[in-house]
Amino acid sequence: MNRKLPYKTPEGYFEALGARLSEIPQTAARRSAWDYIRPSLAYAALILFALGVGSLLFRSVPAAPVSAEADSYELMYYADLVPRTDPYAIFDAAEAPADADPYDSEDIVSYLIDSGTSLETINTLLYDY
Amino acid sequence: MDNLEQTFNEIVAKYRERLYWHIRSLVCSHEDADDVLQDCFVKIWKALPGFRGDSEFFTWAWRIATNEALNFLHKQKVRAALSFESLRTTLENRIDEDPWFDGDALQRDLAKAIVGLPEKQRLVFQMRYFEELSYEQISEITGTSVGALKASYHIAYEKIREKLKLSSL
Repeated sequence: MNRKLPYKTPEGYFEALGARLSEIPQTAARRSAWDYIRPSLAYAALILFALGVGSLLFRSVPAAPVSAEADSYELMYYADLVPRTDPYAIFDAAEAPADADPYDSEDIVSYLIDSGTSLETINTLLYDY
Repeated sequence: MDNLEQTFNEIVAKYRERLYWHIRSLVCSHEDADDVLQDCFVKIWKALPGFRGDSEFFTWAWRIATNEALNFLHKQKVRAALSFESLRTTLENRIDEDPWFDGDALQRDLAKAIVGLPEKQRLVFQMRYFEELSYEQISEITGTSVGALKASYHIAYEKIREKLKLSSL
């Protein structure tokens, strides 16, 4: 039996192969530069990703209301600031005119009743003067 | 062009064909041999500055090529297992479908019988029978003792003969 391998190659394969293999030093040099840069790029991408995620997390935390126009639901986060005598007043705060008197006589009466002032005294304070 | 690049080009010119046939005998198909050979020369280029001439260049290059081809076959083995096939079946199919196969029916049977051998027996058989390397050279390439190689070759030879039902190859 013939000891030659029973295979052949495409016409002109080895000539083309020689030219292709001779390019390896240049290709390998370019690849080496890329291999050198790649870890730095990976770290930069990781830092950018962490910053992006951090920024998104911060944005998702509700901010404190900074103006009278703030959403009334956000005001509920500050429940300790809701007036005991008229808790629903916070819903009207945004609509109230800027120069309006913040307390009317009804508020004053409610406050005095809550603070245990007698009706006689309240009557005297509000109406006798 | 520096000296290293010139040396590399000389190696390419001198060994590309023999290395191709060495790899082709192991991976069977032309396309696979082409890919593995390319990787092999990339490794040779990268390792060339560290080659100190402790061993003969031929042995060193053949060792790289053999390792590349065996790594390729190990990956093929995993792929074959994932599709519930054996590596042997995969390689036999490649031989049947190879448009660059250039032998008669008996040579096709021989090629199929060889891919059915265990890795070490196959390696020593290919290198001894087709490439006609000495046991000493094969020993340096594979890192196996000459005695073990002789035994492996003998077992491989008997298995193939049994398979082909031939009195002599």
